[in-house]
Amino acid sequence: MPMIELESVSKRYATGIQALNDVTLSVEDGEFVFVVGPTGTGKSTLLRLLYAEELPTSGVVRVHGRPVDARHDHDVSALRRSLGVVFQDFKLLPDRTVFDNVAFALRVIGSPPEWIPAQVRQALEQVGLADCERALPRQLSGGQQQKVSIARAIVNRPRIVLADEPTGNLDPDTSWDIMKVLSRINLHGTTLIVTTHNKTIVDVLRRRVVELAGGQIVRDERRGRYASDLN
Amino acid sequence: MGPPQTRRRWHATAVSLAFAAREGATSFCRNGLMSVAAVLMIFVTLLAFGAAILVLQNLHRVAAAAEEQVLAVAYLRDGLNTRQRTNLANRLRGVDGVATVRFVSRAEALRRLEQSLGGRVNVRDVVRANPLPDSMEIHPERPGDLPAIAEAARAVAGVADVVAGEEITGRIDAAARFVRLAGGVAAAVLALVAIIVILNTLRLTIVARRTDIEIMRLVGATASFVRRPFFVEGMIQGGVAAMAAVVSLGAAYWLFVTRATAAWPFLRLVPAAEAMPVVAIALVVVGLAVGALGTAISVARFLRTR
Ligand SMILES: Nc1ncnc2c1ncn2[C@@H]1O[C@H](COP(=O)(O)OP(=O)(O)OP(=O)(O)O)[C@@H](O)[C@H]1O
Ligand SMILES: [Mg+2]
Repeated sequence: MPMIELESVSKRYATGIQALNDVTLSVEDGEFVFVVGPTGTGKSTLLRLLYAEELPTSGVVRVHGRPVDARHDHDVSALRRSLGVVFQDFKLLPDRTVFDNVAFALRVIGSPPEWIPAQVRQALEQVGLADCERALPRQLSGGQQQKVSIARAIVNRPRIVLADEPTGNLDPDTSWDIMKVLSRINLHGTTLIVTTHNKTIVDVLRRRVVELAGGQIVRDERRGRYASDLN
Repeated sequence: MGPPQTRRRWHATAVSLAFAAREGATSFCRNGLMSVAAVLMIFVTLLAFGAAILVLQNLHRVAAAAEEQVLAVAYLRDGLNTRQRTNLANRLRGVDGVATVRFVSRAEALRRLEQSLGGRVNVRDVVRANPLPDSMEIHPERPGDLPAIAEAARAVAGVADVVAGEEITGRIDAAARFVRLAGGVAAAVLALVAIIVILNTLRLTIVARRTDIEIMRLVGATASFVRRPFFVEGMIQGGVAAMAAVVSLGAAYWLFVTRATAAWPFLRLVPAAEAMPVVAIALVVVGLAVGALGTAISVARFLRTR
């Protein structure tokens, strides 16, 4: 059973913009997928449909084999607890320590308090930030902040991690650092979908590449490059 | 202890309530300046609202005291026996708009007269026999009905004459009505202003925290879980402001009553101990309710998914 499935999915925003147009895609358990394409082609929209931030205008989105259903609040919450999401701008809480930022994700879903410290430390270890747990975000570099947000995304041990341009704000070396962290998470069996404009990383890692153009999938290669071989 | 399922659910509820309380309280402290600004804003608004209630209470007392004076006195013919008097009283009670009818014997009337003369004059020393007739005091349900009641009372057999002071009554009635209406409208408007100001203040504090809300939703917190800490925080803000408003208003009003009555003893102000409980209840209820509801409404805007 595929981890993620889109069946003839279209998304038209209220403004009239057709962000996705008849997209069909299937991602297996444990896959690592890059979503690439020019700006404004619907990459972020695709991810937003997966965590039910937006709903498709038509078509069906399935995650873990279940159709994404945003009619009930508890369905949305349950879906999001099974996903980790990472953004270009980190979205950390500036007035909380690294530890509290990660723990926040567990506290707000009502995890038993006695489990939280161990789980937070394990997540911080996985991203290589074990000794920064008392720092505030502003005391960290951009790369470290992104690692905190990755730790927060994985602390509840989701089967799927979605990353929307996770290296968009980072220099090349730091970008590689982040990609290594994400690859390691994928090696442990987590399904990973990453949107990116970083050609070097995509070309070196040679993972599955899905290219969008004008809201449609124009290329889907098992071990692809950033740009198609024809160019 | 119940089945493990129930116990686990209770445990989860306890955890989430503890989170809401702790998170609400710490974020109240963490956003120090914002919280202080919000509390001050709510405080000032509640102060105005509370002051309006105090003014209203005093106006109400003045109006009630004036209305007390509104009555008709029916003087009875001499020589009525007890049964005839009872009949007469019942006839008067049957008149439309009459609230109470009370018999005042000529002896009581004399006693009152002497009292109103300050107890310095003994009327019996001047005239040997009591010159006053028996009478009935008639209180109307509404002051405005008095002329009609007096008219009807004059027609009752056994009544010699009716004195009603119709003219002054009409003016007191109109003034009392106006005072009540104006006071009520003013208090309602101020309550509305208070609610709007508090809602807006709370909205600002929540706008400042939309990242928190966004992240909570993103990691799968339920809407009610997101709402609860803000609920607590809003209640703290509203409650603290209300408490401060009650204390300062109470002190100020007490001081005012003490000073004013010392200077002008004829002023019949409502004493602080009598007036403040109503104010305290009104302010605390408005503070807490609007604090809690206001945050709920504002948070709801950020919880909406498309
Ligand atoms: N919330 C929204 N409301 C209306 N239109 C939107 C919204 N979000 C995105 N769009 C539009 O939908 C189209 C696709 O946007 P999307 O953000 O998915 O592109 P993208 O591929 O992620 O672009 P980029 O590479 O710049 O991040 C764009 O034209 C964008 O302007
Ligand atoms: Mg994007």
